[in-house]
Amino acid sequence: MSARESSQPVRRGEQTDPLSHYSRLFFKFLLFSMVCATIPLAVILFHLHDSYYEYSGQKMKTAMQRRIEANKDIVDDYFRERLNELHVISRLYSFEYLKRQENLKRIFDTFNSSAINYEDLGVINQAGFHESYVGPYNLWANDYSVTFWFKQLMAEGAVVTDVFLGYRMIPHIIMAIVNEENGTRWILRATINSYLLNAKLRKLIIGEAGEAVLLNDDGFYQAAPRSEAKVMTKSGHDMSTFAKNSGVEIVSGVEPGETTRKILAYSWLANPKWVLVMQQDYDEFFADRAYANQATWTFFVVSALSIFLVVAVSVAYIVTAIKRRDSELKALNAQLVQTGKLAAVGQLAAGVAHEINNPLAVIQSEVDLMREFGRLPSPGSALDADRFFHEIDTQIDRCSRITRKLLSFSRQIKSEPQPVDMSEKLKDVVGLFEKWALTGGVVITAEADPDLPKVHGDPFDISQVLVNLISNAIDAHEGMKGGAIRLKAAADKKEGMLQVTISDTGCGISREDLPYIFDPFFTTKPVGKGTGLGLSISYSIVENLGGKIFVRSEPGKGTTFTLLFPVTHEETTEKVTSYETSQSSPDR
Amino acid sequence: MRLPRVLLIDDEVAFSRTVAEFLRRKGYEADIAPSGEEGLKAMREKTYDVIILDLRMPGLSGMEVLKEIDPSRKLAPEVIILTGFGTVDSGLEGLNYGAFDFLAKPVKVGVLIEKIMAAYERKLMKEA
Ligand SMILES: Nc1ncnc2c1ncn2[C@@H]1O[C@H](COP(=O)(O)OP(=O)(O)O)[C@@H](O)[C@H]1O
Ligand SMILES: [Mg+2]
Repeated sequence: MSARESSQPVRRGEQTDPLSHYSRLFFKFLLFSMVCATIPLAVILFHLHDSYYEYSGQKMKTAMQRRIEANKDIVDDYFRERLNELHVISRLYSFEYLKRQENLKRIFDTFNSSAINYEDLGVINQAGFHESYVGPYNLWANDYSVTFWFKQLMAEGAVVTDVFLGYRMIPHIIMAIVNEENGTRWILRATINSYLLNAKLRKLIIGEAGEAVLLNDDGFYQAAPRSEAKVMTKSGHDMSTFAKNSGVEIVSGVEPGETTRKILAYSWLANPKWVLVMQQDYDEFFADRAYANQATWTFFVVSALSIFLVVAVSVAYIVTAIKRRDSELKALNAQLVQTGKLAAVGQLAAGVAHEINNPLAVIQSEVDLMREFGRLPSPGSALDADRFFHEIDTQIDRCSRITRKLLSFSRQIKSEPQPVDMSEKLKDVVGLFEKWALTGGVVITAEADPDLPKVHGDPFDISQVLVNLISNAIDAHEGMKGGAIRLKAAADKKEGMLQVTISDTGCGISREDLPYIFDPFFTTKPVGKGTGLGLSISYSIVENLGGKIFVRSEPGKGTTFTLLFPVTHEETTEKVTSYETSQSSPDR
Repeated sequence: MRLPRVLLIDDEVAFSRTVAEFLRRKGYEADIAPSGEEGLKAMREKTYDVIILDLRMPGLSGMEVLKEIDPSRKLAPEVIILTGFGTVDSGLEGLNYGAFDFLAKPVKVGVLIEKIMAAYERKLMKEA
């Protein structure tokens, strides 16, 4: 079996609209190239973007943690300084000295001179009552030994309280230390009110985005510079978030209508046991990252667009080139088809010449005989005029039969596709070769199953295929004593096709030649005899009809070509050509 | 001069029969053979001076018969090739194998007789 490359140009009646074929090709190429080009780009971008996200997120978090720790240190220092000041006062001055109101006042003024640090300052005796006091409130009657911080102070020697209202009913904190002098213990106590604390914190966090607050370990606001009213209320923070000494956490808080993500940076103070918390909107915090995100997308879209443009232009160029090549091929093929037709006619020439010259020769000799001797009175051997006329008639009949067949063949050169009766076609074509083949010792037989379905096709095309295959089969017997060519037409029920086989007992095709026999201009015959077009043309004709052509050959034994034609279900009869019906030719 | 003895080898019997009759009426001795094999057989039974040979015949082809006859032999008959489809190639090939001349059908019997006489003359010269 020999198969053939599939790039057989379509000959006529193209099924597909060529425009849509090429634009489909264009879009297919384009899609394929776009997918190939953009997927790696997307993967790389996604990967880069992802690592950048990860990296920048980590970096920003670290930076934020450093900042919160630094701020925490400032707040810590603030409290430590205040405590230190109290210690300095108690070391420099004696209890006796400080008990005097005017002395305490001088010290208070000194420490508040550069900045207002203290709300008030008091010296409290062991029993819990003020010995002296500088400040705006009247606290002389208060017994401090019953307050919540007194016991802790006595136990630890120093205390910084959370914000509370106290006797004065104003939010403030108390810082106090205990001193011992000659066996008596006394207390130096200062207060910082909430307003001062908030002011301090506000100064600290100037330039920071978001809100900074101080919370005690139960989650109550100690300072909230942006909304002082919150002080001493419980914050919404889950205190377990602030598990480490300091850290940065992303929390999502469910607010009515939407889920918001927040960044919380926190750091615990040394004393008091408060936590400094800075809260920032997630999107605000990662605005840079969002910008990078947008940049990535923009880059992707711009790249994809430019890839698209470049690809579209080059694909358009390629498709145009393909289109041009196809049309060149089509033109070449059309030329080939024309040459093939001529070749098919040429293949008939030898047989036709033989079939006409022989009867002409008989007529010529009869006429010569009659002219020479017919008029002579030659008794006993008078020429039989009846026999003479009969012989002339017979020979003219022979000639007209062959010319009729030839005409019916050539008339079809410009024919239309129609249902073709294959058994008739076989008879016609075989008739053109039969005699000629026989004089070469080759017997041609054709048989067809009864009730063959018809084949839809151009009758000339089908004749051409048969002419090509039969004349090849006759040629294959060149130099042999004789042989046989069998043509058979049968319905292939399984495939729904009509099968025609042409078997010969000729020389066969060598294994090396077999792959090439369907190529245009491949011939093993001498120049002038072979054109190499017969099989190539036959192949494209059969392919165009939607059929198949196979060959099986055994060198030295013979060759069988198998043709499969799709059958037509139209019940119209073949257009009857006037030549085939007018049996009584006018020249008789 | 004796008229030549002629053998027509042609599968187109209607033709060779008519030509043979013409020749006989002209006083020639003329036989016909419908195939190459028959022709060679006839030549074994009788000597001929000139053979009219068709190229395309079932069975032995004219060219094979020509090779068998080999007109270059001293006593061999002369051969005139006469065929229905005359290509120059096959004519030249025939001449190479020693044929006297090549004629294409249809041919006037008068022309054929002229050729027969010319061939006969050559045969006589060859024998002499
Ligand atoms: N029936 C056959 N038997 C042997 N050889 C064949 C047969 N048919 C085709 N071929 C080989 O295929 C070649 C191509 O055939 P084709 O295309 O008809 O061109 P061409 O007959 O002009 O050479 C022939 O030259 C011959 O070698
Ligand atoms: Mg061929």
